Amino acid sequence: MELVSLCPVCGARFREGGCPNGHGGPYLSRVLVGDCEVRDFERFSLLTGTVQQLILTSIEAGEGPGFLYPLFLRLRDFGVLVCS
Amino acid sequence: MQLSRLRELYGGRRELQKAALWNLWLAAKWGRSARAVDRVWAALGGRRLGNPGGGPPERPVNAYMAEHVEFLEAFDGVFAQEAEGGADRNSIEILRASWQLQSWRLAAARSLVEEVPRDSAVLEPLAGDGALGYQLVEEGFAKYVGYGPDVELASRVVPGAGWHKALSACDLRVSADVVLLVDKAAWFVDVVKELRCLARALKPGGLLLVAEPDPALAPAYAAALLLMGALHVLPREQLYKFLRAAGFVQMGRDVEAVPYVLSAWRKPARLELSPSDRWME
Repeated sequence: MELVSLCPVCGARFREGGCPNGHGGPYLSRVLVGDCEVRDFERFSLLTGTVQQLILTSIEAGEGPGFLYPLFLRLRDFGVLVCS
Repeated sequence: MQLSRLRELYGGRRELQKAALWNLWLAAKWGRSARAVDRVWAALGGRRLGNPGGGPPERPVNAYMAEHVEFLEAFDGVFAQEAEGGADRNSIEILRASWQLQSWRLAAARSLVEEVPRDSAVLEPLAGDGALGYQLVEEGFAKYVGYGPDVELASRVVPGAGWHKALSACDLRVSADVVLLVDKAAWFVDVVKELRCLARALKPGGLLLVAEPDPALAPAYAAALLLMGALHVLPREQLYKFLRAAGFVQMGRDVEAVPYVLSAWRKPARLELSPSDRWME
């Protein structure tokens, strides 16, 4: 699971430094999810339907908005998600 | 400032009433065993708000209010565990992480800044995982500044924003046009001191936009915040006393939108002196 930065002006993606097209920050981000699946449904059900849907859609798409990254990390660390 | 727009987004009076009833019903349900709920009643001067009784109230249909109720219901099991000796900390961590992403919470913040010029410097105290900062940058606020005791994760979620690792606004040397207070005051160690330092960080004439929960409107939500680590239960009247003590002046009337009360405050262009200071003029 990793984060890439996303320039809100031109949509360029980059891993380090600033926008390759010279636009200044702040930037947004995308979380690249990799191959994940839900293992602990009991704890996963603590999330509201909307947040569950965001997580599941991101897993299906392989990436999601960067603001999901902290939640993804916790779900993975607590064994709710298993990611390879 | 159109603070009442959030009421419309939340579905209007009837939907807000349903959310308030759910708050009462869940607080009464948890109250049999939860210390957090006792603290909420104590903060309200010992008055227990009426229990709607019977079965669960009618469920809201508005997407924001329905998610608010769903979020509260997720605490059911955690409060039951708490009563049996201790809730699972990992579950609370997950709830806290997902709380920051709740659509009704982010909608409140968006609604507050709707009319704020996008070139304003916006300061967010205790920015957590950066979910709100992300929203603001997405909305075009390029001069966003956030602080908190640990901003490492947030600074990766919104790279290049003005992140400051600081326990308090008192440690900051920034100058903001707007301070955004959404679900923050209950987490300040010393509320008045923090508000004073936020006032110092605001430019003269700057705005403080507030969406803070009122335990009288949303007792279950206030109890859930305590379980997630909030330090205080702050009834609206108490918070307003603190805001005035910090030198802020309220603009217009406040607006109730369960679980929040929205209000706008201004730092006077010229600071009001206390009577004891005025003799020097």
